[in-house]
Amino acid sequence: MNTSTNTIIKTLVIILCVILYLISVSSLQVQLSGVTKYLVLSSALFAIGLYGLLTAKSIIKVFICLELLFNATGINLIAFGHYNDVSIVRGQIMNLFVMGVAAAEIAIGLALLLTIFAKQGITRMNKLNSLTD
Amino acid sequence: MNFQYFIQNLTDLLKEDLLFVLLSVVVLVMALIAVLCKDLTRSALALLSCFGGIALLYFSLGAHFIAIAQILVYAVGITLIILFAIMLIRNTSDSYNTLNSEKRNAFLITSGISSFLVFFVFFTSIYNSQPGLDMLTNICSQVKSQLGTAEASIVQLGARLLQEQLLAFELISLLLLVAFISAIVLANRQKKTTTQ
Repeated sequence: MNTSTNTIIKTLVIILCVILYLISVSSLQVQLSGVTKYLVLSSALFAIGLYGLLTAKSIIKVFICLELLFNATGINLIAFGHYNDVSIVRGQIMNLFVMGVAAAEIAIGLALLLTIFAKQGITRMNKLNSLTD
Repeated sequence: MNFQYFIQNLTDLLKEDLLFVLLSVVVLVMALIAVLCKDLTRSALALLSCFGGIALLYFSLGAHFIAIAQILVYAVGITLIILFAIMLIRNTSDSYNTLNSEKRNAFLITSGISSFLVFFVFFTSIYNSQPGLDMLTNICSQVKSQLGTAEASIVQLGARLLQEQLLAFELISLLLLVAFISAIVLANRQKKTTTQ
């Protein structure tokens, strides 16, 4: 019963956040065309990833949310590059570099995670406190 | 509150750019599933389809090379690494492979509906006279009109990447090399300590 009420509260909070997001977007009186719609999409994706990053309990969930954040910035870069300078593809080049950094980050992070798991058997974020002892 | 203005705005967007609306709904719903789902395997698979939707958005923005790189790096590479990490870390007490009768019925129903939809779309596109296909032809014409600028942007990208941004390109390859070597070193050290 406790878990079901918890999920109901969580979905209600999410629906409330979506309504608040729509109201705040509509109060800006922006035209949803051109680069603005991509900015709305990427800000929503960034908010979802940040929520997951702050509430994640498992380390793998943290990596998944980090990838969502990287992709939100990538959508911004590509959209600005498409609408501002078509002939100079700076946005696409920046997105390629972001992709390389993300690949390096996930390789190092998951190798560290596997090492920690083999030594201490920990996959939870709040158990990683061996430096405080 | 200018909610009516916003609704009007949304209907304009639906008329003009239906492809963007569909892809953004897919991306946001899959990102929510990836963040909120308790099962790590399901959230990794939702992340896969979220990245696929973002790659299709890149296609519609004319960045074809970036879209292919997105599929190769994010949707296949990173999701595969995350799935392998989940497989290595997962508790052995969890039973993922049980296929009870409820699950089997759900599989049958969903696969039947989806295969019916696929056959419906194929047959109606062969005869091409049904009125329900307007949405599909609208999306196809949008995709077709945006596919023309592919080659020019890829040529520009290669030229800029290897002439102006050559130093950054080499530095990012050096970073990737260092990252992969250090990942191998970390994994090997773990193996050595367990064998000794």
